[in-house]
Amino acid sequence: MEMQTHRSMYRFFCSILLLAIGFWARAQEGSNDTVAVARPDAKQIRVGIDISRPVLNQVFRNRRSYEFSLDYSLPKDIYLVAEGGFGGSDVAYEDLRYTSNNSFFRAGIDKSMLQRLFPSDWDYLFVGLRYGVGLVERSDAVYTTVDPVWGSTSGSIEGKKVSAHWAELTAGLRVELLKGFFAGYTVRAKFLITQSVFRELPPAYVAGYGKGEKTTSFDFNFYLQYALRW
Amino acid sequence: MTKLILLILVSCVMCMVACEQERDPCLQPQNVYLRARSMKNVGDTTIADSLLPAPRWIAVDSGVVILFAPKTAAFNLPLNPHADSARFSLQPDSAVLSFDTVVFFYERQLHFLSNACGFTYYFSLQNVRFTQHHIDSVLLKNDEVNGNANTPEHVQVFL
Repeated sequence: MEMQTHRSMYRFFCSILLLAIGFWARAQEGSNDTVAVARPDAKQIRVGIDISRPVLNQVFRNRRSYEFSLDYSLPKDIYLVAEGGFGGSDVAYEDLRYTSNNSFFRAGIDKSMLQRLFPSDWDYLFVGLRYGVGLVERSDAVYTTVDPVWGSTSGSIEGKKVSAHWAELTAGLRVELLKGFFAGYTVRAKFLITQSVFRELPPAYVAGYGKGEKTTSFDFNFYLQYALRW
Repeated sequence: MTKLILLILVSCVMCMVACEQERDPCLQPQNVYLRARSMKNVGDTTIADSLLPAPRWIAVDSGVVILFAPKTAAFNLPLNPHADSARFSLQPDSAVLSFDTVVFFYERQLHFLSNACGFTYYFSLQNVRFTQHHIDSVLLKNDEVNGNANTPEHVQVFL
């Protein structure tokens, strides 16, 4: 358990380090242009899909997740963000067998940490907050315990529907590759608020959150997005 | 430059995730044991470990013999997850055919360890009964058998 925590921490700090590199690189690009440009009056709404999820679904065959995003630009380089998706997990071990499915929704804000280089500059590096809700449905679980002296026992645990709530700290960047088309990533530290709902049997994977048995989860998304401006 | 860095970042993160395993290894015991200690009275108020010469505990209903090293006073005994009691025969010296029977009565609780380790049973001891060929008395010290090693032994067996 401690090794898992260390691995998660390692991954989180690596992500922060990589983010800092991105910060530094952006600062280098703008070093010749020291004039801060005011935010344009244009509004932007952007829809996107996390393209890393289909890849990860192929890597981890026992879990699946699909994620989408929607954000809207507010004054002072703040973005109102809504994210959602669905997924689940299949646990098919010798001693434990069940499936879980869930949908989720997250809402929050991102705040750009960069000044614009020119009026149509929509690239940004951000930190943000989210509140997430997942509606999780677990099937009946079949378990087996193995005892070297008394032999195996088997049984089942009735399926359950629960709602899980969590909070997130986010950071990341977005780059406009072509006019209106963005790519970028978000790293997330997630903190489960409703730990008690998973006490009986936490799902192996909750789409939008991560491992149900962890009270803290680290994750990332890689988005492709399209922006509409007016 | 920014695009290149973006590509590198994504590659790094993907590599980190790709190293993750399908099922995490189970890093905790999957069975819990009742911890018993053989004791003896030394004087009126003092007790000490009673090192048994060549102890054997026999799980009567499964027929499994649990051997312990000579001159041992601490014993880990598995309770029966199929029933609300577990019956053991204690042979203090395997060279001598003389036994005591000890029956532990308890309540079982199914307990989730983790997705890596699955489920196990915890037990709440209710009562202990025993014969008195070698045993003088049995003291129930801690009734929660839950794998927590930082608690006192569950029973003291005075011989």
